[in-house]
Amino acid sequence: MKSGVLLEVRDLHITLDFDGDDIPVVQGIDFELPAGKVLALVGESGCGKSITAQALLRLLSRELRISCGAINFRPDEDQAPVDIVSLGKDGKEIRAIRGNQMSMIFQEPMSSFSPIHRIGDQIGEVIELHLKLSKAETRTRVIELLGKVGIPDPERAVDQYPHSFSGGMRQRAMIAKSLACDPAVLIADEPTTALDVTIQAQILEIMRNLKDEFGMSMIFITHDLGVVAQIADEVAIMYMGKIVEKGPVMEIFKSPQHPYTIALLSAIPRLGKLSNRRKLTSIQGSVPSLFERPAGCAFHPRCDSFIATRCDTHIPAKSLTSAQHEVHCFLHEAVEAEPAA
Amino acid sequence: MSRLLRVSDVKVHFPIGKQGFFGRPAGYVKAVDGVSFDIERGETLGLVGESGSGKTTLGRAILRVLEPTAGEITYEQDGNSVDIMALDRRGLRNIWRNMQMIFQDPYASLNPRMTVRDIISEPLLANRLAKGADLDAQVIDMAKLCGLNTDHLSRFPHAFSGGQRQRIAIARALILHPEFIVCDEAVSALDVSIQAQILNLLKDLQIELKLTYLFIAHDLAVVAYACDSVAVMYLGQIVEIAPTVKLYYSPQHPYTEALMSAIPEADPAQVMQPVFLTGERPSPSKPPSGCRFHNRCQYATDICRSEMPPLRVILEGHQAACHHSEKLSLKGALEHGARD
Repeated sequence: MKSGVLLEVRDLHITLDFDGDDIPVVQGIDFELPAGKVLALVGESGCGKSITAQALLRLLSRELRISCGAINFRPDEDQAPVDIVSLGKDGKEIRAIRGNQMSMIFQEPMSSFSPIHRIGDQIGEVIELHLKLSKAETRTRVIELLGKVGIPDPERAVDQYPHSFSGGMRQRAMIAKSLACDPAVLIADEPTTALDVTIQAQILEIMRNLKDEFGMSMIFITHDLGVVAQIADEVAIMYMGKIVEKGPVMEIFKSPQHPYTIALLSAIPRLGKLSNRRKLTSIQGSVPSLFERPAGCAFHPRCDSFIATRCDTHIPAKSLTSAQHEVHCFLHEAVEAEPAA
Repeated sequence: MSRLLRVSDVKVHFPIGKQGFFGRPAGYVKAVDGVSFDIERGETLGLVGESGSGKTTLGRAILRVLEPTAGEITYEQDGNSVDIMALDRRGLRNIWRNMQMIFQDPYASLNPRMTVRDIISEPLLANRLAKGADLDAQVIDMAKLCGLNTDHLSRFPHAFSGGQRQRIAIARALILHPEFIVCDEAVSALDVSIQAQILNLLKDLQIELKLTYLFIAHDLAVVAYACDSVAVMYLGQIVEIAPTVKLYYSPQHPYTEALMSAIPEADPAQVMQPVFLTGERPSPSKPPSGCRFHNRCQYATDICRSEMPPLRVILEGHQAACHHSEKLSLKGALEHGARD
């Protein structure tokens, strides 16, 4: 593992057990999370982004299985990395990591808390379990955490039940809970999708502060390219279980290389020049079902630059368009093969 | 352009907390509280606001799918003004041929036990407007117009993706050739690439069939793209209404400014600088005195706490409900910087 890298995913494959058949859901993805950076996994529903995130903490449901690959996690530079794939699903080792060194925020702030326990107790549970603090110390820590994520009057909030919190407040409490043990990596699965736009802006601000002030490293899963532009350092675009393009946020938005990325970016309505609104460029067709995965490049039936007998038969390999910018597309392989043209 | 619909002072109040079995309600949730606006024929009016602002309730009240508590709704049909509030059940059924609705969730709004053909043809059958070969022909025409593969009409909704289902829902809404469509979050549940397809389809159909839309949505970028004018709702009231470009680039109400500043722009070079609203949104059962926004507004003064500002014309075609609009220079969406 390179130095400065906290988490490294290598050739991760996840399959769905469907009546005894193994249906590939995630097909060999690679990425690294450098310390202090935010990596966004972006894609439409069904591209495998949430499943990838769940796999990192071994939270996959029973029908889903990591069939091969490695997830190397090294919260501490001096220690040897742990391969999360090799750990048991419910063993001691993974439970020591979960919620402690790596924690997760989910999309639904309404259903991520138990309605019958006080907010303070639910956040305190994580602290008691991992940090072994006393009741009084835990309470002080919870109040401090609630204050940090901008919950007004934390001394009172700590004794309240989730029902008296609004959606935005619950998501803040969820962030407080995930930060309870100072994790090295925070995984946020669509943390702002269920929230109103003004609340979303507040939550994004909190997350940006976490990154700037505490050097938190995050994996941010979203389908919203606006949110990506505002929070990410690195972006990986996923389509049907593969990363099709990956690179620094500025390069992805300013010079997207994969036809899918280009199409996505032109399909979003922008506030630029409203006075001459053009038609949105849509992507033809829709994402095929997992059971009808196209041969070759999975995007080829919807691609405008489709090359017959190539895209529909072969899977494009990775090509680099700059030091950190990779793309999986034959258009770019062709460019490399014929430098004169 | 001529007016198609006039909504004046519409209220929808829901009683809450009955005292005793026959008792009077303890209070009312004022989901929609005195809303007035006009929609011109052929235009798209956007209705934005955060969850709980009353936009969906208003959309339903206009069709009287949900009974308004008070107010007037006038619909211009073939040169006659129809008072929707005065219609009986039969009158409503007739007017609903002209006024239809498209819902948010295409997974819940289509009956899973009906084939696509049955779903699209049901309005025609229910109104006894067509049968036999004529019915089939109309269904096929409409399916084609909405971009559906006509070979798949005998399939059931589960065989279709979200975008295709929304096309089915649109075909069903348009089969009676209505003039006015309430699109309630019609693209919110769809992925980006599909959302663009449906937005383009709605636009093409509008031109082809001369439709008028009330476009309810919470995604401000989508609304900016889809609508000619936009009304912003807060706690059951319209706080600002103006042509899209004016509303987005030079808002006249502090709440609109806060909304605009919170839109995450898909450009990493444009770092957003949101105006943060203090406090929580009050409950619509206990709205604050005076201006409903005053307890979260950074510009609020004494008059805002005591007097409710009426929706008034600030500039030509631009209405806002704020005491201080003229004195404030509020930031709009463009002021984040030059954009491509």
